[in-house]
Amino acid sequence: MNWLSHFGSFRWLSALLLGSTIIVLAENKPKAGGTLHLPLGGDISSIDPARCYELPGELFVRVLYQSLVDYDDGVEMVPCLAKSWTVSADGLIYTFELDPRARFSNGRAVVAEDYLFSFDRMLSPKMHCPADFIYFGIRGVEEYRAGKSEHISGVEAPSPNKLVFNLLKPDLTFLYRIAMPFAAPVCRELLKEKFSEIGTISAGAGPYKLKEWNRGARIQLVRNPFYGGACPAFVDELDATIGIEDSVAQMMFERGELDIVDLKFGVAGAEFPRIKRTPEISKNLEAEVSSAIDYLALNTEIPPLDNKLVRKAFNYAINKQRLVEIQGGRSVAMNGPLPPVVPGFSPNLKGYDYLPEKARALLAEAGLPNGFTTSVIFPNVVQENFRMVAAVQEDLRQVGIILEVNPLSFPAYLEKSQRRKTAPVCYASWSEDFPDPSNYLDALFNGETISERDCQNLAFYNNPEVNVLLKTAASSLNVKARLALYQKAEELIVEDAPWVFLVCLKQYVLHQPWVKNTKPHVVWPFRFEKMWIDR
Amino acid sequence: MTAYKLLADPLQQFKNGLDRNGMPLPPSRQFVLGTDSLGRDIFSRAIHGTRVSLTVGLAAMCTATLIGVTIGTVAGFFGGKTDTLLMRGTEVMMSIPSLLLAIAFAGLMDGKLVHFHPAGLPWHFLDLKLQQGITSIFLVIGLLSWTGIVRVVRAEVMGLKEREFVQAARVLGAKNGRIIFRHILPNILPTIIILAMMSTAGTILLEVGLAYLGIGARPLPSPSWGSMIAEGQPYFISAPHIVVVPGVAIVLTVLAFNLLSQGLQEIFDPLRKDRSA
Amino acid sequence: MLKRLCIRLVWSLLVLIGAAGLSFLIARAVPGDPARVIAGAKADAETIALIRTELHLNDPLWKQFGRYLWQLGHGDLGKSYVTNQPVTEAILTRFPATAALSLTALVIWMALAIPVGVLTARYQGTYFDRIVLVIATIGISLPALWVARLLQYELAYKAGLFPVAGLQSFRHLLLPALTLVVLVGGYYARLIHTNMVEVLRMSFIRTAEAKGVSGSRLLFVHALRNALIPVVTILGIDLAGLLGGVVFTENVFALPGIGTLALQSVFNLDAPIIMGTVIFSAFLVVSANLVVDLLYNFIDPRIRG
Repeated sequence: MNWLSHFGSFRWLSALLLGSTIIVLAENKPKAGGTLHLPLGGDISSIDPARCYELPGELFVRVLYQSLVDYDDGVEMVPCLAKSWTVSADGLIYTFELDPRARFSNGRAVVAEDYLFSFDRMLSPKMHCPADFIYFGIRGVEEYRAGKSEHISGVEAPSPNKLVFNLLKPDLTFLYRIAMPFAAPVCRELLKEKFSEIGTISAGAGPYKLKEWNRGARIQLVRNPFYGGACPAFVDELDATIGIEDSVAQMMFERGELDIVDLKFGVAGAEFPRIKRTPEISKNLEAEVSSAIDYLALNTEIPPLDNKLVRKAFNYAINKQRLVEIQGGRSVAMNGPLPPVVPGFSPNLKGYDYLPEKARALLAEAGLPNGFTTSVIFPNVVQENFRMVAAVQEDLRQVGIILEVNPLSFPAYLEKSQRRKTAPVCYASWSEDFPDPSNYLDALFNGETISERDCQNLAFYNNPEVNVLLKTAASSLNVKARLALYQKAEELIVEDAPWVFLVCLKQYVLHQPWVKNTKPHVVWPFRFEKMWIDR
Repeated sequence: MTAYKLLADPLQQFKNGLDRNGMPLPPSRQFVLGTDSLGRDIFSRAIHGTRVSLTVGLAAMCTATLIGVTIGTVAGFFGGKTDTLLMRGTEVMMSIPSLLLAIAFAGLMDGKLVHFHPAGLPWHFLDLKLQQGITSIFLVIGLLSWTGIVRVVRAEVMGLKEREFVQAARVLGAKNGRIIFRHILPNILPTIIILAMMSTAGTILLEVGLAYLGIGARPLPSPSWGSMIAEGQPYFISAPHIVVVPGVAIVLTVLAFNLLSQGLQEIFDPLRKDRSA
Repeated sequence: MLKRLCIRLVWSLLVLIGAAGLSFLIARAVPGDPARVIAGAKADAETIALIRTELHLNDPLWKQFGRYLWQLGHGDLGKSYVTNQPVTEAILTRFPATAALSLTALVIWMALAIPVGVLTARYQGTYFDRIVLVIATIGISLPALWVARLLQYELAYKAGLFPVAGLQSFRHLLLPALTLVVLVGGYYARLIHTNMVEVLRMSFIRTAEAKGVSGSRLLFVHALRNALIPVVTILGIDLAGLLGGVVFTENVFALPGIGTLALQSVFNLDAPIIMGTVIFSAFLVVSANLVVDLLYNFIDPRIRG
């Protein structure tokens, strides 16, 4: 060890001592100022609120374009750019009182008309909004998209401070949908063209505005000086370097070149045990069970996987505890499709234990005593997928199922996994749009959504009984009865075993001692507007 | 063969191959060079990796040499328009970074079947399944590594063509094919061998690069050195041995091929001998 | 002279069209539906079908290639499927980082290779010469990404001599440049060595020696000047290979250059960018060769045709 690395550990120590004294003094008082340096693995494809539908891009979009409401530290809704809201008794009309302080980044006040403009823009077929289907429950969207009307009739602005949404059916998840950045107001004066992708500018009423975005290299945000609303930001500038591998990011963090790193997608999870062992680092580790799940979709239309016994054999053959182990304990084994953080999760749900003997027996019962050969596809972008699939492959080999491994680039993977009768097994991931069971069960198991191409139901699972339950639950207004319906559907799904329910990832944020309030949220791993710097 | 049997199964994920935290083990008595991120024995994987990496490297070398020597000889021997056309084609290939092309080519390998058999005939052995197997990866690498060989072979053939014994054979009525196979190729054989050894170094390195990018030799999980590096690199800070071992194996092998070609050069190249004398 | 130049230019253009054709074929054959890439992971079938018609993806292949060449002729390389950014813009914003890295590396390795090459030629056969030969051979036997990771770990993370990654200042370029120097510096030292040995045998050197030109002046001025000419040619030819090596270095050190752009585009199956980077690097290589060719004409009149 040379003197330089001694210096390194000394710096850690001093930071630790300083940090702990300051924590006592100023833990609860957010302080404005400073710059937050952070890494991004891949590039952001777009920062247009009507186009961006992926992490980490959404994390930036949601602070550039704030919406009417947002989550509190749990999953309750709090006002952001709205002052208050009311829902009609039949659950069909949502009325928002807008916050008169709200300002776009050019200083203009936000009025109800701006929401009309933004919804027209986002839901126009010309925008190719990838999340448009989330808003198909609003009255008049179908006519508007078919070109039969100029505006969406179900979004109205009776006065500059009042905004009304009319729904086709009651929907308890509507506020969640409104909290997504797609529903945020866009400033028309700042756009070059109404219906084209926004490019490297920002036009929102969020607490930040874009300073500079050098695509593939760096993105910098500064605070919106005109911001008015209930969710302001404290850090002056966000400075993200793009294209840093996780293990490199970890090195940079430990050399003090970065203020915060995210271990969620983290191959740097490889460094997780060492981080835990090193107290001066691990004391700055924040954790939350996330909504991101990994599963094996078993295509129920491809023999022999069309046989329930074979699918059950898959479930019994795989040792989930070992998967958790090789992820360094950064995940939780799942019994069913719902992660523990989602309302309606039932801890008593009976899943499949690791019983390789039973798996072999089931295979024999299905007429395959010598096992069979099949293949799995998965995206090659995430290094950790290779390890997870290798572990699954080995478990299956023990019961006589030979799994051929086929890593694909992400677009090729999407194309194949979502095409009917193409891929027998997919290693897939899902992360929720909002914390509701419908976002898992309806989105991924509804047999009525099966299409030849571009189908989200990767198991092509179709159980009429489940379909009915899901349909009834979707428009139910009784919270308890609704969750009970989803739990019933979940039980049926687990019994049919269209997936191997694998693990739910825990989300970790590692921050320097001077970065405060970084706890990840169930829906959003980073909430930049909550953080502050104290050094 | 016995030594081979003594090795652990390179695919086996040992129950005791990971520590309590799920981390790879450092070198120990049971695992001579430690274990990887799935608790597999690195030593036996590195030995098995030799097989994959060398197979790919050597087969790609043969492909490249075959193409390079054919094009170089034809261009050099016939000259004129044939030469110009072939050399410009070569220039197109040379102007594109081979890594980029290899990545793009490898993208094609998604399990598609390409039918080469004539319609109506059951010659299915002519079909090529495009998947990331050893065959397609060495073909891709071979198809991209021949350009350097062409230039040297062409220059040598052009020189030989004018020599007395070739002219004599021509006067005696020998056909082109006979001249090429009996007089020219045997005389440039040393050069070809040297070039082949040099290009093997290149093909092995290219395979490493492709495997690092997740598009190397398949089927997984049988290891190649490149894929071992790729799998191990997230663990670089905590368990550098996972990456260092296959890396050293690569360097030693490639170095061996480079030294071999240098040695052969000193033995075969009379011009150089004259000069250094 | 002018005629020769014209012929060269026409050939260069044909080579570029060839490269365009090759990259077009590859990009079209790559699996994955471009419309899917644009629409994103969770999009519905209707949106995707719409994009498919908008992009003329249902046209026959030759028609699409014709359209592509036509746009190329107007300097338009299309738009990225993923980011919607014009490809030309993407390449031009990324090129400075690659150029800066390559130039920094070039300066360092030439500054090392020239004295080493000259001295090993002067003291041929000594231990010094042998050691340089071994180092150079090891250098060309190293996998780029492995060296980059090792240097990053040892010199940046452990020793803290350099920043780990990113490109905030010139200091961030030094370690990536050093990686390239390790990989190719030795090779160029040997190249200069070989050429120097040949030049030193030539008559004009002996004449100069007889005239009493001092030893170091003779070596570093008279001989070196002549020995460098072929090295420059090789440099031109090797440029394509160098761009390949830069890919990994940029990737490991998170430098926003052409290499990372190419890699990202391959992972995203972003066909316009894949084609753009291939054509751009072909353009670089072809024009470098053209320049080298012309320079040669001035330096060495014997090959004027």
